[in-house]
Amino acid sequence: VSVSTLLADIALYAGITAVISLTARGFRLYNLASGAWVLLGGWLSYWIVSPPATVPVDSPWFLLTAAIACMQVALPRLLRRQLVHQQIAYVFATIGIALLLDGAAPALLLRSYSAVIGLQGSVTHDALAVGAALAVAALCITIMRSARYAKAGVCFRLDGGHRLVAALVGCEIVLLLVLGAASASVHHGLFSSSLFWSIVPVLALLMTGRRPLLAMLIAGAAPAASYLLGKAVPGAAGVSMPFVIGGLGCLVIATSLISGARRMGRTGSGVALERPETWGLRNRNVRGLLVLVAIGVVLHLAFRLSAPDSTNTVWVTALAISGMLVLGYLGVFTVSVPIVGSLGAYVVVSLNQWPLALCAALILLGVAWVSYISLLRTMQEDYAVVADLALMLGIGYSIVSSATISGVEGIQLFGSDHETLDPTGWAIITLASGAFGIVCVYVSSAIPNLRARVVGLLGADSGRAHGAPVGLTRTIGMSLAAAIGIAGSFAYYSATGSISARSMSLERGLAVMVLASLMLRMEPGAGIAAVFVLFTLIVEVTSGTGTLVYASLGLGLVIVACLPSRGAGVGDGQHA
Amino acid sequence: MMASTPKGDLMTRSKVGATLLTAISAVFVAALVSSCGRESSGNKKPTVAAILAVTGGADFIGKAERDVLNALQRDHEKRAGLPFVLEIYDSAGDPDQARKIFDDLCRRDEVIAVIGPSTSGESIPLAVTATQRRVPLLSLAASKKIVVDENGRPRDWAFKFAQNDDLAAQRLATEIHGRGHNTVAMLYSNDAFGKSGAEVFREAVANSKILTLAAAPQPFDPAVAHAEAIIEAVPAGVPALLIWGTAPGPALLVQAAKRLRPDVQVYLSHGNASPAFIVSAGPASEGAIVVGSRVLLDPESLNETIPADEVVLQFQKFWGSTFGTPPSHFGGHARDAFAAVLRVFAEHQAPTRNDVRETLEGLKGFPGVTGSFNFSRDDHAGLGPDAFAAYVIRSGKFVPAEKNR
Repeated sequence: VSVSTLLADIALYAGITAVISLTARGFRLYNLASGAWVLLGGWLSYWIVSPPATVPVDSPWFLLTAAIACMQVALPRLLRRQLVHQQIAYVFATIGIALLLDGAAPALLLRSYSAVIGLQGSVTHDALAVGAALAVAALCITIMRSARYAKAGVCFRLDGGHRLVAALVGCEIVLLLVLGAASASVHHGLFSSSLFWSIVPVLALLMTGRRPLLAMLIAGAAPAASYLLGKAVPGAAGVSMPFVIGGLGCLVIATSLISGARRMGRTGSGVALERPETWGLRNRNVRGLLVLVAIGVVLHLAFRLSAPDSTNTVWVTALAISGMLVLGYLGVFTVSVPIVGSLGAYVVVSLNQWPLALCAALILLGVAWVSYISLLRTMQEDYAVVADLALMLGIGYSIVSSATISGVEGIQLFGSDHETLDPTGWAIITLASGAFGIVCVYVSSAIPNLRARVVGLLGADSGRAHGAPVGLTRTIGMSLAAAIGIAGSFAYYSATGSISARSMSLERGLAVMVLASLMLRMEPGAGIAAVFVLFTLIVEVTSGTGTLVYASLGLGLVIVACLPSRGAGVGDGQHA
Repeated sequence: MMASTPKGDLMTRSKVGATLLTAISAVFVAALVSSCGRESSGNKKPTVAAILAVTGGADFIGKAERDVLNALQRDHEKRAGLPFVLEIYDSAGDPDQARKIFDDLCRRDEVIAVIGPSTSGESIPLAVTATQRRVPLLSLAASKKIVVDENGRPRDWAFKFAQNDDLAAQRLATEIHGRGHNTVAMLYSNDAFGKSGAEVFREAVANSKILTLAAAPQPFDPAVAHAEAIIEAVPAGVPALLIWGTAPGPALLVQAAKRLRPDVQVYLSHGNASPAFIVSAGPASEGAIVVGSRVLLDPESLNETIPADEVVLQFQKFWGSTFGTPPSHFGGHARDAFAAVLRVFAEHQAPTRNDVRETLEGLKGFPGVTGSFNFSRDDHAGLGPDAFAAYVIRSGKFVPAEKNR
């Protein structure tokens, strides 16, 4: 790789870090949509400077992105109450905006999903990128050193100053667009890799305790490390960045543990026991619940019978139920559910001839996941959410990269003569999954009683009174979530006939968490019905294809993040 | 708190039961209506379905194919009327999605043939299913494995209207050697198209006995993010580099190669024989050599009196007047499949699936945009080496390579 290209790449990562420090340093608001804005900036400049015939862009759709920018600027105002104590809501909302941009832009803005910016890099282009990054970084540091900025931080913590924060968010978007415009020949406008540009700067900021200069150095080191990894392992050339991001995620977890940035009191507070009524199936809810589930099932089936090309609602619902259990019982926002579910299904397929090995592998997977979730629980939410995203991005891409290196594309589950399900088969699966959802709600309401009995047997009265300990509930909740995740994934792969590395995507994890959050905002049964209906509608409206499904879910995540918290909140009362 | 009584519970349960019963009844009525609709399909107009990658990573292939089919449908309906119903489905280039759509189509008796899918990754598994379900599949993808099984036997119900990739490999090997390059490095996308290409190119190199591979062909992720690192891993001193894949990977790799290894001659497979590739790769594509259909030839170099050229000229005119852009190599495959189906209807008033298969097998010297098709019981690809021409990209256009040696 030429030195100037590498320098431009380093400068771009460092520049993005400086820009997102504007809201991260003083306000603890982490912008996870930065990569998408950078890529959009590249396309905008390419559209402006190149002859129209040579640019594969449908220009009117730039207006849509302006509306999305307005939405992000309005977020501090929309999330005003939540942001005083729960800055994590902003992270969720910006993840939603990233999904929205990454999903809608290739489908609507670009004439072809696979279009790239046709600029051939040169030393001049690279110098422009480095110069722009330095200028933007200098401007950001000047702003952060101003007295007004410090004052705004104090006001914000006292539930005020949201206008200034909104102005800073707007400034951030403009600067990201400028950076992207100057670095078009570095990032090539490839939306499928925008998360790289988003997550590395946030990881760097978390690792350094939001110190911009140090964070810029660490973020800048990421492309250099990726280059060195590609040099050391030629097979990893071109696919090494996810490994670096996974490594940074581990470092964030280590930093969190070493610096003691733990979530105090989190393990001692009760989860389900604090609010059993909400989880319980009170008699007056039964009818409404079952009616809603029935409506959801009927609507889904109506779509299913009329549109043969929509497929994975059942799978998503099962995963959303497991996501709801993780989020509800443990208060942990994790995108790992589909990845663990897919890995479990893969283990079942690969080792079904050897029952002992299969059991051992499933237990190992379960223990690893439970330990991982427990580790996330000990961390502050912002650390936990971003580290989880980074690790799952690393694992997901590593699996895909390993498949690329080894040449394995997918595994046929039932040989080549397998047929996909006919509508009657889908009808049975849908009815069964509706019943399955109801059973899950009953089980989830039964667990607090079960736990209370066990705690009573152990004589831990004081723990019961204070809603602690929650170890048993956690274990049951996680086991149930893992089992549902694996079963859901297996059902999906059984229906489609093959399992591939590409199906273990981070976007699916995010989609599951959107739906899980939605279910938690409602009564569980109504949530299940809503997921059925919502996902079916999304699939139908977007023809079930392309990236528009993820764009819709991104919008859903923004809306869910902006909904007011319900009572004591979800989990320990701090996650939404 | 609301107090519940046994009677209240009983009433609630009975209402719940009634609701569930209603819901289940509604579902089964819907299923019944749906299945009745399908059973009575014997009286419906014959249907030809197309499964195309209109969205997703291969949309530059699928959109061109869809647009051609829609335009041809409109054109025929204006003139004599179309003897069949054309239904187009979007698979997003996803083999699972394509398979589900195909399974549903197979259950409908009125569907007599399926055009597509657009990509090899979708077409290979569908060809297997088509043979089992005895439904004619008119694939628009390149891999030879679509029409030939793992034992080298032809698949009875799968046909293809894109050139076989072994022909492309032979054409590329000839071109590389013809330009005085005896050693070549190869990069291929890690998908069915790329893997099949790597396999046939290895065979072509082995058959040429002069050409050698500098190293084992290297796979790359189809949506490659860091192209420069991949180019840097190409062995030093190699005079020629073959990139076999579809967008966006090759566009980025060509840009990186132009910058890091400007002295290397880049060769590209027919997956990049489209104006969209030139737009994506930008000026870096200048000088790259691509193999593709004759549809990319300049009209002035075609002779209207030769039937093979006449059909290409007609298609170029049709495309130009309908879309106002340079013609698509991929659109040509769809046009040929559509014309073949029309030929079936010219010979049979109400053709069955078997009629379609038999008529296609009997097509000889059938003039298509992609080439002259000569199908037989043993050859469901029907094209020869003359279906490919080599082009060099000059000033953003495909120019015949012979003129630029």
